[in-house]
Amino acid sequence: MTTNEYNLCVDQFADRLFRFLLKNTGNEDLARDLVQDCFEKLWMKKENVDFERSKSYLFTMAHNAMIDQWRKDKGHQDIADYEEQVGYEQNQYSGLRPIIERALAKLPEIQRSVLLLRDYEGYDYAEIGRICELNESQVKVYIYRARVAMKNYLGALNLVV
Amino acid sequence: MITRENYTVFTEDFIAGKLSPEMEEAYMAFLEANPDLMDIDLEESDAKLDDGFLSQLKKPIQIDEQNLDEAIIAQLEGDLNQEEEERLEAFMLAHPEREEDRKLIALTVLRPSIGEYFPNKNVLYKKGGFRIPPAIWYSAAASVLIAALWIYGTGKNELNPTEPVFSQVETFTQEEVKPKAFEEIKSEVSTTPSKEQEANPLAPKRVNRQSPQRHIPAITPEEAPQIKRLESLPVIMASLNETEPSLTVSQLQVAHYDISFSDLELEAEKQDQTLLQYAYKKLRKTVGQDERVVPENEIPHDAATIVADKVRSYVGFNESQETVSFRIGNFELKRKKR
Repeated sequence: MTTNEYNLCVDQFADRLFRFLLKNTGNEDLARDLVQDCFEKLWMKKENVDFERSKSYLFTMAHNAMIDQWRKDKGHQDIADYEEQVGYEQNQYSGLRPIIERALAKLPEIQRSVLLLRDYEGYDYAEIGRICELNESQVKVYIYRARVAMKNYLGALNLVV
Repeated sequence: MITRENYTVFTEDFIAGKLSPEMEEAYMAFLEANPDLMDIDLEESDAKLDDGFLSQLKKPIQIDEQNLDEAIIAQLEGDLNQEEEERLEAFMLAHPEREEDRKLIALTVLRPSIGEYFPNKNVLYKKGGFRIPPAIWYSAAASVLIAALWIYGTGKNELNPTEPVFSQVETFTQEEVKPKAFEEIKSEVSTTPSKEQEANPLAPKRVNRQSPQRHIPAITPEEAPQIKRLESLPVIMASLNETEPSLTVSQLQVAHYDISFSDLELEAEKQDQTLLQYAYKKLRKTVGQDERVVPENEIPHDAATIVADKVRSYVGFNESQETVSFRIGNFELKRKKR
């Protein structure tokens, strides 16, 4: 990968990686640090990583970094609590968004991860499996469970849809 | 007697625990004598069932009261075949009260928030060109130090040739000598802070110029408020990528990206401008003073890139049947849908 291609990766993927990490960790500073770490690693490995594989490489590293973080910080703050405390500023788009964010935050980590990769990045089951080290069936099951859990959460609030 | 022809029968009995201890021993002895029979590595095997056979094994998705969520999610994920799609729609027609379930599940499809972006991409960009590894800097520093000591020692020796060189060399501790050597090296490549920077450390860094006579274009009083306004605008999150309109403006940069970020930085630096000033001037030169729709091919690629990245001013995203467009400051970028 050339320097130009690396910088192109920054343009194309930094925001998306940040959103993925932010949604998964609920901590902006941490998400920012992890984005930086991922890109530093990509830069170190640029001789071995093709530009075409860079996105998958970045998201795999981001996923692994999150797992490490979760292990390191076993008593980590519940993301849903965090978002309630800081008051996620998403109100300008839709009144539903904060509720959906909360439903997402309540999901188990792995379900949240696969759902974000699916919906934000449009990855197929196989690609998500490669990133999260799961097989396709597991990915499918996690996506299914995540949607059902979110649906139940939203349904319990008696949202007028 | 266990043979290669009948051993599978014994294998089944062995797995089921039906072999007597004697037979079990005989079976193990047989396997030991025929190791190739155990050498089947399932992971390495190329054996694969064809898709037709696999689909025969699969059960169709049940579409009823209990399994409706699964069916709706499968539809959402594009996992239903034509026949299943039709059955689901027929079920929904017959059970309109379950439409709410479908709407709730549709809400679980996440859309990226346009307010979330990585706040400081500058820290991620890398400049191209040859990079001197730290080890070489250390070697250089060590060489300078050794050379300095040698010259110093030789000089003293000339003054008093009867004394050995190293006894005349004044000894330095590492702390005393090393910083001096580094300073010597650094002074060759360092830039001196301008008066403006000394007064305000946050002011844009200026590199010392060899030719002070060179004309440095200043921001005109007319341009200043525009730049100030652009700088104060909130985050931009829009895209010309009509399939994913809520993606970041980085997508636009991809469309225009034919020059590296560091090249632009250098170009701006050469003209003693900040990136924003440089980009703004380029855009202004192209577009003129009036607000108008600027066809994509008229936008200077580098300027669009930088403005998009630096200004991040979201004004609006518009989509019609034929075009998509968004505005940056006064400029509206428009593209025909593919």
